[in-house]
Amino acid sequence: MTRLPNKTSKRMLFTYFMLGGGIFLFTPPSLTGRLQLGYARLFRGPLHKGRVITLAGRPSAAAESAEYNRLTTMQRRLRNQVANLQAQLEEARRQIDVLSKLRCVPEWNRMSFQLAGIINDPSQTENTLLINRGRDDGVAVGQFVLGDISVIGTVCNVSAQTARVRLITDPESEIAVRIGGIGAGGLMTGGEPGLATISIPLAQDKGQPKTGDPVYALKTPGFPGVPIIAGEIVDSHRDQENPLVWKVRVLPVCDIADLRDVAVVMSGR
Amino acid sequence: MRWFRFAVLIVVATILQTSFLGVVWIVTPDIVPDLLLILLVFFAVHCDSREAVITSFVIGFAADLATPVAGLMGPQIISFGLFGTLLNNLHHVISLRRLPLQGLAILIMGLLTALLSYLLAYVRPGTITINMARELLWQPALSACVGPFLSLPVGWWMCINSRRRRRHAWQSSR
Repeated sequence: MTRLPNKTSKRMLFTYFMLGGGIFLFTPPSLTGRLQLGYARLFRGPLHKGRVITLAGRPSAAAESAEYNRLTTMQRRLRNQVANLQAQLEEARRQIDVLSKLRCVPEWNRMSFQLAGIINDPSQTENTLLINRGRDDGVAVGQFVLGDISVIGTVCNVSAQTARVRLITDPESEIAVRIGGIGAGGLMTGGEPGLATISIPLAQDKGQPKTGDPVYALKTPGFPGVPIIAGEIVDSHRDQENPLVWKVRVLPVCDIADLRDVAVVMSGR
Repeated sequence: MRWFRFAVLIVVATILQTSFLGVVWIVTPDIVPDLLLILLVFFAVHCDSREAVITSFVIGFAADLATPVAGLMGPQIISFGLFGTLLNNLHHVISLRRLPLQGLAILIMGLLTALLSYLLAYVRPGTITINMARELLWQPALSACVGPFLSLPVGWWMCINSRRRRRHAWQSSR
């Protein structure tokens, strides 16, 4: 059986197909897009199943991609950054709250304060505190330290980033004070545990110190003449050896055990 | 040439290329073997001249439906048709039946068809972005590795091997 001759040669066939390809190439995409959409519509069932299987088949593909890892790391860092900023914001709000209480006394408006945290357990070290501010923050020896808007002691030792505070109950503490009720002044020192003592020579017409009278610290370094409460009188009695001298026992008005932060009165600013 | 089986094969390959082949990938999920490229080389090597021309252009048409370049139709019709025909002509000079040579042919054909397709796509106005490493290296390389192993099943489906054996037997009996 002889084969029928082909009507179209290979070259013509090739030429026709190339022309067809060229027509498709220069046909507007809006028209050729219909062919592609028609294909997708005709076989949408198997194409959809294939897509589902493909996506199910690579559960960790995204996790393994470098881009995903990079984004995950960045997201973790940002989350940590947000947490740090939130903590800083809360700390700043707390400091503002403390400082606003300090500013409630009008005479203190010209004072500047350095907030510091207590870094030791006050119950473990008698009569001293360790705070987390030091020379680098402008803290100097002799500056008054406030707690609960009252004088609790003075800075006795300073390093670059920490400082030691000698409380008013420390036997080596000496602070010039004035008793609020009678206006008499003297030197307050520490002595008994938890209490300070004032020896005041009193004239007869000044009256006697009464229990509950406030005791103010005077001569705040840098701000002389600005009285700050330090304690209140627990009891008083005349000195047996010198009847003109009153021995006054003072209880600090600040509960050191519950204290978390203190404010150092910056005398150099 | 069994054209019905060819049509079924091309339709199945197009559907697989569009959706199912995403399961088989290397390095990144967008590097998958090109089934239509593998079929292009297969038919260019195993068919006579007229059939090779027709199959090359039809496979190019299917490629433009499945994975169009910049959404256009035409670039892969022309590039597949042109290089498929050229490969068929080359096969008359150098036999490409051996599997390593078919793999090499797939790699080179993948590179050439991708280049020409993108060049033709640039003829049309519009912005085209091309991942050079994927289109010109990884995908043809992966296709070259996978392609030779598909020759047997495709040949079985198209009955090309049995037809050749019958022809050789008939020629030797003469």
